Amino acid sequence: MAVSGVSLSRFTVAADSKLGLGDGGHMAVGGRGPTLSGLSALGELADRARKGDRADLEQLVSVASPLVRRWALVRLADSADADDVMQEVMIRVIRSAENWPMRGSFAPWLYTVTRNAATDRLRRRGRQRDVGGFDALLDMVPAVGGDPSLALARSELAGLLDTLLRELPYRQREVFDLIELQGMPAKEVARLIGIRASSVRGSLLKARRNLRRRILATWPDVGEDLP
Amino acid sequence: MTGCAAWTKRLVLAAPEELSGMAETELSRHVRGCRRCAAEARRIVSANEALRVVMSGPEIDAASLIEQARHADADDKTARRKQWMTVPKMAWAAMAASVAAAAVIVVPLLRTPTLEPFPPQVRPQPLVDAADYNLVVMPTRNPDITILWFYKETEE
Repeated sequence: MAVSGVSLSRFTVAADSKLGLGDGGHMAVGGRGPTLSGLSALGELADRARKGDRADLEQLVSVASPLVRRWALVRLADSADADDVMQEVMIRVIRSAENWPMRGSFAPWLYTVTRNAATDRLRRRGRQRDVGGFDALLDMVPAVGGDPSLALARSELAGLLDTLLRELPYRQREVFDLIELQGMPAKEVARLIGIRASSVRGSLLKARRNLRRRILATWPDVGEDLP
Repeated sequence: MTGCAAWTKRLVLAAPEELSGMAETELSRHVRGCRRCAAEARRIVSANEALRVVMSGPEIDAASLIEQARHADADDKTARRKQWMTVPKMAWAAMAASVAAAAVIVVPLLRTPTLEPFPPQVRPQPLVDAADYNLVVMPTRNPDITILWFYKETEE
């Protein structure tokens, strides 16, 4: 069950202006994803929203929901299930404001809640059906059209997604998404997911190797199309 | 071409800024000067950008989520109230029977005389002290209750 919404640019602008999110680096594409300051800001937002102001709560939900959905997606490899888990987690979070941990611990706590909910979903799904395809995810590609750097054929992108979400072990895809795609520093990722920074870097290297092997194998004739 | 094979292997593990040729590393300098490796690096960056966008998912309507949470709260409260109010007749009968049974058991217990000990200054003498039989008979403050104390002697 997907949650309908407003334009992405509105969220990005709102988050950037009020929270100092999006501090550049290679996070610039689409202006999405958390940064170090973004996760810290999440804790600050939670502290404000805890006091009961509706606007603060809305802002917290706007910032946290995409993160939760993405964390769930990396775990579940199914966008419909990720939407469901996001909704379930956010409703639970909104209803339990009195139990939120204080600022610095909010993001790791939210991550753990999400991961547990996704794991539950995975367990139930294992008994029910196979995972769905990536159609819902791939349907987003035309929506971001116009950027030549994103002009990957749908089938190639599907192959990469398949490698990222299904072929890589969970730890590798988790770390790859957080660092390579979302631009978080390894140290922050280690704190978020509760492992050592050296393990984070090891998983990232393995994930890069696996995924880029796939990318390079997709275009073996790279030298031939050069002038 | 063969010289680039080694660089390609290094591209696999390169950081984003190295791939974009922005870093001051050996690999990044090579990427800036080699068309083939630059093309490889661009494809890796491009694939990552596509993944990044696709993984970002649809928009989230925060207000709608908050409303859902509020409704869920209200639904829970209503459900709890209704659960109590809509107890079936058979359940009411069972509950009434349980209360009655509890009353039968508890009320006589409440009437049971207390066995308060005597204060030290008015400790009574035993009515019977039959040491040969290891028995002491003691009165209590309640005339309906008498203590029969069978004891065992130990050598000390």
